[in-house]
Parts: sequence; structure tokens; C-alpha cells
Amino acid sequence: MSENLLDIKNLTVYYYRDGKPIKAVNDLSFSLGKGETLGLVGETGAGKTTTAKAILKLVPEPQGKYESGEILLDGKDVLKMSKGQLRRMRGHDVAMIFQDPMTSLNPVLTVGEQIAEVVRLHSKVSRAEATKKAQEMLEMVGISGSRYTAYPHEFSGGMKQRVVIAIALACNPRLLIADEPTTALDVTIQAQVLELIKDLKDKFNTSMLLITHDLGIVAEVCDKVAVIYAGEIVESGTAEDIFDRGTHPYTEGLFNCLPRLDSEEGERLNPIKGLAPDPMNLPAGCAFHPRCPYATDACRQSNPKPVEIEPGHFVKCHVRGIGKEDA
Amino acid sequence: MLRYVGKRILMLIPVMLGVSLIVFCMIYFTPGDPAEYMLGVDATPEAVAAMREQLGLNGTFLEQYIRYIGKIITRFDFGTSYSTHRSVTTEILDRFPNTFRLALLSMVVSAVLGIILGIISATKQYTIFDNMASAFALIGTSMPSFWFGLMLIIWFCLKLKWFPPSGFDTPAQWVLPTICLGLGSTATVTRQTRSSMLEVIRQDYIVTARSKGQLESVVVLKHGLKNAMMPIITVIGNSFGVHLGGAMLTETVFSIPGIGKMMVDAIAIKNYPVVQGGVLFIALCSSVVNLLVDLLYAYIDPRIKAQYSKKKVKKPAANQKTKGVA
Amino acid sequence: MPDIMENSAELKKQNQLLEVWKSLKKNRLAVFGLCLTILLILVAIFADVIAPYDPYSNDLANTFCYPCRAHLFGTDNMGRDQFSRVVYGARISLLVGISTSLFGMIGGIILGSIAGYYGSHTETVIMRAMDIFMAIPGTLLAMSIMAVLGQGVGNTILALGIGAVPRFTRVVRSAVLGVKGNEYIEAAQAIGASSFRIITKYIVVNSLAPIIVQTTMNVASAILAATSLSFIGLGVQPPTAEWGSMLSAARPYIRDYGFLVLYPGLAIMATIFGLNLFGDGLRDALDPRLKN
Repeated sequence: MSENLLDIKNLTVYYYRDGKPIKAVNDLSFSLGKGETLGLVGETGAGKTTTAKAILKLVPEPQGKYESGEILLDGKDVLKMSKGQLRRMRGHDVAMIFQDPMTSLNPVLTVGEQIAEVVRLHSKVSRAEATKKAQEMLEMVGISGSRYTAYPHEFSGGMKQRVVIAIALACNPRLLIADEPTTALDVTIQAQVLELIKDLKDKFNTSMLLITHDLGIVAEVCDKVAVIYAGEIVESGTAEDIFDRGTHPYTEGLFNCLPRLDSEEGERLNPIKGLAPDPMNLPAGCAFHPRCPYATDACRQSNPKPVEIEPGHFVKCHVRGIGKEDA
Repeated sequence: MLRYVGKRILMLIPVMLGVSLIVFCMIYFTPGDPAEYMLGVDATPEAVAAMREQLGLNGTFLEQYIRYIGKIITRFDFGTSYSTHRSVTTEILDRFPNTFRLALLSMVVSAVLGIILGIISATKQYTIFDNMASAFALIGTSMPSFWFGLMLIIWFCLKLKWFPPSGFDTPAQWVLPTICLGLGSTATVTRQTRSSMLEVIRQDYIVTARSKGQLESVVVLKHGLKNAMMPIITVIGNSFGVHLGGAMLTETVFSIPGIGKMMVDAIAIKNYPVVQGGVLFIALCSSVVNLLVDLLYAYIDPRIKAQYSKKKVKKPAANQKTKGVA
Repeated sequence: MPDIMENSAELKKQNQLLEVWKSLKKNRLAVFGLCLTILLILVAIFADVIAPYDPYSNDLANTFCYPCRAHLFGTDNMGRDQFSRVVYGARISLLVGISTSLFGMIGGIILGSIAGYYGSHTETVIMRAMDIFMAIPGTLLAMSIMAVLGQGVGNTILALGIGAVPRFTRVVRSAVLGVKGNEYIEAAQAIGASSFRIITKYIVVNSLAPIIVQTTMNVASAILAATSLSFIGLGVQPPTAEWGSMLSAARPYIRDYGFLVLYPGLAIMATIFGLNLFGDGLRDALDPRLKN
């Protein structure tokens, strides 16, 4: 286990509104090895962003509360770190690329200052050296270093996201969390940015947690995949496990939603029935059962435990998990 | 940018002309003959006629107005006080330092206190401190300043004898009037700071700054406050004008020889040139301060600077309320 | 057919009111403010029932009486019962506050909707004129107008009302601009509705929320301004039972009889406090976008 860079064990995070819990993340566990890329896949509102923020202990408090579980980074629990330890970890060991580049840059500071800020926080360099490093980072993400003094509003969305990437990678973090890094961008720009992240990750040998709802991106980038539903991992394994032998009814449903070029004429998309569950009011038993075509009484009564159906391939389902184990 | 500044200064001219017109109408339409006021009832008709000539009270409305405004522009001459027979300009300039000092002190104190209280209140939302600061702000905006001044005098001057109850020459005499005049705007600045900080600290770039491992205090001040500053500055800038107007009450309560007290006394004896001059002068001061505030926006927010250089003179929607309604 | 439409529109309006009320009820501070305000209104209406004495009858045998059972707030230099005077003062303050706001509101609706609806030069002229009025600090403008008009309740209302118009005009104009772009206005123009009808029927009705909020807030600031004017000897004149002039009259005696300035001031404060709390709550309930 010790070779894992990140181990999340039984993490539960609730938000509270008017005293009532919003169950964003429920008993969630996964791990990420050094140099690996894990794709965290799920619908909007499934708890992906909360999980990502929890790794940096950035869930907004006091509305959000870490109910239980641990997040081990190199064996050290992030949730138990002191403020100083957290500051040294953030930006240095773990860095994050945020979803919306339009809003994640400070509008009143130059992009250069914003990159240099993280450099100066984590390495003892002079202002001039930090400036130089920031310019290098800009060049690295494909922006001329002379744009150092530009303000975010002078940049397009794609360029802003490059700046965000430059900030995240400026201190060579060992873990990069990318929270839907391309969702807010045009399709053509998406590919460029994704390519850039992949290149830089390989160059610095960074581990990456890629959060997305786009299975195409996962297929392109990730070694391992975890499927998240209602704040729980319902299935995890290597990319091949999930793409070729996806077992959980929800995983199955996700793939059925994808339009396929080779589909028969007249064949329609097969979306998952119903809506994502309300995290204020999760169904009893398996959270997916109201939408699951295979649901049984067991599913309505108890929440299944994850079962290893082949080495490294876990699935959390009464029907599929047990069925495979028996076979 | 320079073009914009020039344009704004030019725009000030019609506004001030308008104000002077309002102020001029005031005396023009008031019943009674100013010349008689000045000379007393037993003056000879010849003396009154001569005085009318001297005061520029002959001719049509327009002629009189042009003469009035002409004197102000060319000689900074606001007329002559009926009671002291001195030039209004001298009367104003004699008292202006007191009023200006009072308004400025109150503005600085309320800006510093209000921003500090507002920031703590926003970063510690829903704690006891936040509730206390909000309660203070609510009470502060509801308290009539002249009554608060009277209470301060009863308590600190008459009971405790810590401060003198009147005058404005020594720093000890500055304390109570500053508190009295500054309370309301401290409350307003606190409320504005709290609400705009609350909005800003929810923004994504604040999370970005935290994710860099930045100190929380730096996150709040460097990334938060600078972005929240625009509506706060608007409120502070407005407060200066409010203070100049409100100085009337504070100066009356604390018997401070300032422009406000001068005008209150002048109204009581229908000494209109002094009232006119005072209103015009204060309107000019507060307009200049508002202009400076607008220019400060550009210094703080690069997006607005960019707008200016594109020659768009649309005023930024910095005020929270107008922004919401628009 | 039109009947049904009118009915459903009526129903929708009721639902909206209900929503506003519901969200207002949840805000404890706003409810408290509303209670204070209602209390003030009741005191004003039933002043002659509540007040134990005639607020204007002198009792020279009983001057400067400290607060006691017979005179809850004490008596002043003329032996007049301060409690009765404070109670009667609510009438004047409320009268001034509400009339001023109505004056400002009507003026603002007329000027603001004309400016917002017609745009171009009309708008420029109106809004620049408002800028000129707003360049003079509020108290000062009211004071100057009072200096010309002379004292009295009616003149106070007029002076403060004129001062309130620019702010209402701005609020109405920006609300109108916000509504004007909507398609139902274009639709109304397309079916040939007259400008007057469009302004009154569609635009004003749909900009009501900010106007109501501004009116509530203005009642508070008008009461404050009116008491200030009376305090400096403009506005309402003694011996009228008015809070500001009571404070002004009591000023010479504060050294020995501090209680004389205590109660009228507390009355002003409670009034403004209640109205502000209610206004804040109303703003949040009517328009969540305006919320802090």
C-alpha cells in the first residue's frame, strides 16, 4: 500500500443547509499510485468536485464538514494536518486545475503575479527569480513570456486555462488534480489543453486525478478509472476493466448514453432513466436502485459493499458483484 | 486615461452651473428685498437703490444670474454677508478648515473601522462577532447623529468630564464630533464591506489562491479585499459628501465654528448669500471627491482602466444597489 | 376570454405576494422590524387614546419633573408631559415620512419611466438634472429649500419630497431599462399599444419591486431628515410635538435634565431601526438579487 501516493479511505463529506445534511460524499475510497492517472467519472452533482477539494482540504467550512474517513497523502492524513502543513502541501505537493478558467483567476492581478505568487510561496527565491520562473511557465504552456503583465480579462478562455495550468504546475507538484479542465472550453481548444496537460504530466512525471463526465477524455488520458455515483465509488479498475468489461449497471448506463458511429440506423440512444438523486434525500439501500433496471429487494434494503470481481476491478452492486463472484 | 480625466472634469462644469442656478433661484424667489435686509428698515430709498446696484440686484433674472456666476468664476466672489458685511468667500474660507478637518477625520475613521469590522464580520460569518458587528451596523445606521452627539456630551463631557463639550481647536475637542459624525458611515461601510467581502470570498479565484498554499490573511486581503473594494470605495466617497452636509448638525451640537454652523445661523437671520455660498461650496467639494473616487476605481480595477482607454465613459456599476436593480 | 386572463393574472399576483410574505416571515429580524413599524403606526393612530395628557397643556407647577409614575418620560420646562409629546410626535413623523416618500415615488415614477422609456435626449436631460440635484448633499438641499419656503409641516414634506425625487428617478429608470428589453414589451408595441399604456400597464407594474423597496427605505431616511431639520430650527416649529424640535428645545437643559433628550431620541431610533429592518427584509424577499 505504501507505494500509493494518495489513499482515500471511507471519506464522508456533508454540507449543511438549515441544519439538514447534504450528503455530497459518502464513504468514498480509492487510491492512486505514483505516476498514475486516475479518471473520476460521474454526473454533475455526484460529488466529484467535493472529493477534489477535500484532498486539498478546501471544502468550504463551516457549511461543509468532513464527517469521517481519511485522505492519506504519502501516508499522512491531510484532514489532520496543521494549517502550516496544509499550506506547505497546497500548491507544492498537490496542485489543482479548476473547472472554470473564466472565474478562477483573480481579475485584479496580472497573470504573471498570480504564477509568481505560488513560486515565491514554495521556493525561497527573489522576486526577480520568481518573475523569471513565471515567464518560463508561461512559455511552457504556449504563451509568450512578454504577456507576463497582462490581466486575465485580456485573455481568451483557452489562454486563461493555460495560465491556470501554469500556476498548478509551477512548483512541480507530485499530484495534479484536474477538475473538468476542459468543460468550459470550446471543443477545438479542449483538445489542445488536454494535450498540453498530458505532455506536461509526462514531462514532470506527475500523478494525476482527472475529474470529468466525458468518457472520451478518460479513454484518451487515464490508466485507471473510478465511477462515482451519489458520492460513492460504484466501480473502479483499470481503463480496460471499465471500458471493456464495465459491470455496474450505472457504468453500463453511462456507456449506453454515448452516441456511436457504428450504430444501426434507427437505433436510439439509451439514456439512464430518471434523475441523479437529491443528496439531501438519498434513497435507502443502494443509491442507484430507483434508476436501475436490475434492482432487487436486496438493493432497496441494504447498500452493497464493493467486491473485487477480478484483480483490481471492484464493483459495488448486489446483482452484478455477487453474480460474478459466484461464477 | 488622461482623456477620461479631462472629460470628467469638463462634465463637472454643467453640474456645478446647475447647482448654482438652483442656489440662485433660492434667493431670487424669496420674498423680501436683500438691500433692505442689509441696511435695516429705516434706510433712505436712495441708499436702498444704491445698495441694490452694488449687490447686482437690478435687471432681469438672466442678467442677475450671469452677474452672480460671473463674479464667482472670475473673482471667486460669492457676494457679501448681510450680517457681517464681509465677503462670503472670506467667511467660508475662515470656517472651511474646521468643517474639512471634521469631515475628513470622520471619513478616515469610518473607513478604517468599517473595513476592519466588515472583513472580520465576513470572514467569521454567523459567529458571535459577526452578529455583534451586524447589530452595531444596524443601530449605527438608525441613530440620529445629532441625538448621538447630545448623548456623547451628556456622558463624556458633563458626567465623566473627559472632553470639552464645544470648540474644535485641540485634538481633545476633535474626538467626540468625529465619533458623532463618523458613526453612521462606519455602520454603512461595515455593512458594505461585509456584503461585498462575502460575495468575493465565495469566488473561484479565492479557492485558487488557497490552493496555492497562501496564508489565509493574505488570501483575504490581497485577493479578497482588492476585488471587494469598488463598492466600498463608493460608499466611503459618498460618505464625505454626507459628512459635509451632516456637519451642519454635528457642528451645531458641538458648537464648532464651521461652514455648517455658519449656514444654520445664516438661515435663522435670512442671510442668504452666506447660505448660497455654503451650499455651492459644499456641492463643489463633494463633487470633486466623487470624481476622485471614480478615478480611484481605474487604479484598483484594470478592467475599468481598459474600458476608459477604449473611450467608453459608461460609469461602472459599482454601487451594489444600482447593480442589483439594473 | 379577457376575463379569464385577468383572473389568472390576478391569481399570479396573489401567489407572488404569498411567496414574498413567506420569505419575509422566515426573516426574524424583518418580522421584528415590521412589528416595530406596526406599533409605531398604531401609536400614531391612537395617539389621543394612548397619551395621558394633552401634549400642549402647560403645567408650570410641574416643570422638569423626573420620569415617574405620573409622567413616564418626565415633564419639560413648560411642565408638558413628555410621554404624551413623544406619542403625538409619532403622528408628525409618520405623516412626514409617508407623504415625502409618496411625493418622491410619484415624481420618480413619472420622470424615471419617461427617461427610461423614451431614452436619447429626453433621458439625458432628465438624468443630468437629477445629477445636479444629487450633487447637493441631501440634508443641505432640504435645508436650502426650507430656507426659501419657510418652516412648517407642509413645507418640510415638499422640501424632502423634492430631495427624494432624484433617487427614485434613478431606481425607476434602471428598473425600466431592465424591463424594457423584454419581449413582452416588444409584443405590446407590435400590437399597437400606446406608449402611455405600455408605461403604466407593463413597465411600471413590472418594476414595482425596487420601487417598493426604495419607498420603504425612504420613509426611514425622510423621518430622520425631518427630525434633523426640526432640530436645527427649520422644519416643524415648536411648540408642535415633534421629536426633533423636542430635542432642540431640551438642549439648553441637558446638563441637569438629561432625560429630556433621551426619550425623543430613542423614539426616532426605534422608528428608523424598525423601518430599516423591515426594508432590508423586504428587499431580500422581493428581489433575491439584491440580497447581501
